[in-house]
Amino acid sequence: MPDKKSAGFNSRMGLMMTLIGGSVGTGNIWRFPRMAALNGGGAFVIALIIASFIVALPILNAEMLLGRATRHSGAGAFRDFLGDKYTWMGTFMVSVCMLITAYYMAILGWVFRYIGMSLTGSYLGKDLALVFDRTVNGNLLTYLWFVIPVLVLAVVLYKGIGSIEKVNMFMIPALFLICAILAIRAVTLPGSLEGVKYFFNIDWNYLVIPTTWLNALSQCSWSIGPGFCLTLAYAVYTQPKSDLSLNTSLQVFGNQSFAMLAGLMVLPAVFAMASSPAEAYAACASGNQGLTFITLTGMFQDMPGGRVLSVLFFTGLAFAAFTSAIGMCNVGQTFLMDFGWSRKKAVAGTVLFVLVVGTPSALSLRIFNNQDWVWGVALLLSTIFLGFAMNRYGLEKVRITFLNQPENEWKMGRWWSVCAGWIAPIMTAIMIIWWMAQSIAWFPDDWWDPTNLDGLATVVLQTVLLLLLLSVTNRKIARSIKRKYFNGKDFPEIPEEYR
Amino acid sequence: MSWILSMVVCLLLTWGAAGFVIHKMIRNGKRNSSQS
Repeated sequence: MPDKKSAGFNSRMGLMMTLIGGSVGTGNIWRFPRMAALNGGGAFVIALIIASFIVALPILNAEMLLGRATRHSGAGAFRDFLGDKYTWMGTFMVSVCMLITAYYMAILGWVFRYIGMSLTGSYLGKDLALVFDRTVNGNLLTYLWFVIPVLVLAVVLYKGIGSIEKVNMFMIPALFLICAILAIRAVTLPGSLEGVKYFFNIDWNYLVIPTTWLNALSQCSWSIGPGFCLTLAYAVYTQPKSDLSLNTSLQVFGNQSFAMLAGLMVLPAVFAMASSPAEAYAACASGNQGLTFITLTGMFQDMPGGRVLSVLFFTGLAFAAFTSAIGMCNVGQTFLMDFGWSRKKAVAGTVLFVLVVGTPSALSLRIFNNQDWVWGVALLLSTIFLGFAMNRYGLEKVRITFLNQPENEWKMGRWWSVCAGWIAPIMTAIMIIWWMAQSIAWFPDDWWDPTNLDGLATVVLQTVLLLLLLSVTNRKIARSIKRKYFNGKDFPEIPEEYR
Repeated sequence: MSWILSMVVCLLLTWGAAGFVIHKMIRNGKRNSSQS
């Protein structure tokens, strides 16, 4: 039964772990080390920290205050904050988050298969590219391992926010421990020092290259998750007086700290096991899936105690993905509860959506990659919508009324208004244009063809279709959301129905 | 800049910043509980 006694998060530690768990995902483990290696090592870390300050932190603060002030998920938050006609912006955020969740769960299927294969050693001596291809395309056992975590997730969500808190309180420290063990093993491998030097060395030349900054902004958006709606939905369950800015700051720096640990875990190992720095660089350039499921898996084969390390690595990856998936599903569940649905019905609706929409991605890598590409770019629009919301309501009004509450340790200066209202949306718009321009350069002959699943047209087509659907349903959604808690003055208590 | 100094800078900006925020949270928690 849901825990009727708990009113939102039970402890500060629980909230901290849940927010970090929401942000720390596969992006930290398989994307950050690659991006750091390809973009000047320490220079990329500096660019990422600056991007976090000017984009992630201000937008996460906007999400946190929207959720806490309105006590609704995306759609209800935009309706109450800006008015009925802007509800679609919040619904777009929820929709993109749920579409991402659907394909993201497929990763858990792959990871659980690799835990099994590491335990039995069944991939030893085989062509690992072929093993990966057979695991992710039309494999019913992988599909079963996609369904099982979704059902476990349903149980966690049904038991309420206290249960989400408990899972994160276990999985995040466990993930830290796993990453620490693997990082210590990686840096003690013969030849690993080259990787450590490569990772940390600040090549200042990279800071004058625009792509370093655009990659840092992209990493910031896809890893920390401004605009994901995840922080907004968790904020519904936070106490009115808990320090908003410190919570989001820990989310940002906790995420970056995990990314550094992942860098120490992956890059020294890659450099130690590669025959030359050029080979290590090529491994990093082989894409997220290539690095994780082919290069690293191959390295574990050749490493003393490699099978144990492989099990640990994939277990850590599963914890990272699962804690993020909980946060993303909470967005959908809270959205449905905003319509007056019971928790049971809302969880069933969310899980059914993930199972139905996620099935094609769980059975086909091409569809997975298409969905990753389409909704990854579409997600960036959410940051622009949040910046617009802050501007429309009044940046200074938001800052003074909601962000700088007396009990807050860290008061936001005018820099927050400039970043949330202008810098973050403008930088994000530049990032969208950059990704679009890149996709035209990748496919100069058929970027306009929507049947090219990696091209530009598929992104535009699917995003426009979603926006059209939301414009048609906007009024109905705005009117169907029950109750209004927003008072424009302070943060209301957590409503009874969300307890 | 030597790689060791670079490492110190990178770790201070990430782990150091996270530690600083946790320190502020603990102080904030103590202050709010003493006021209530």
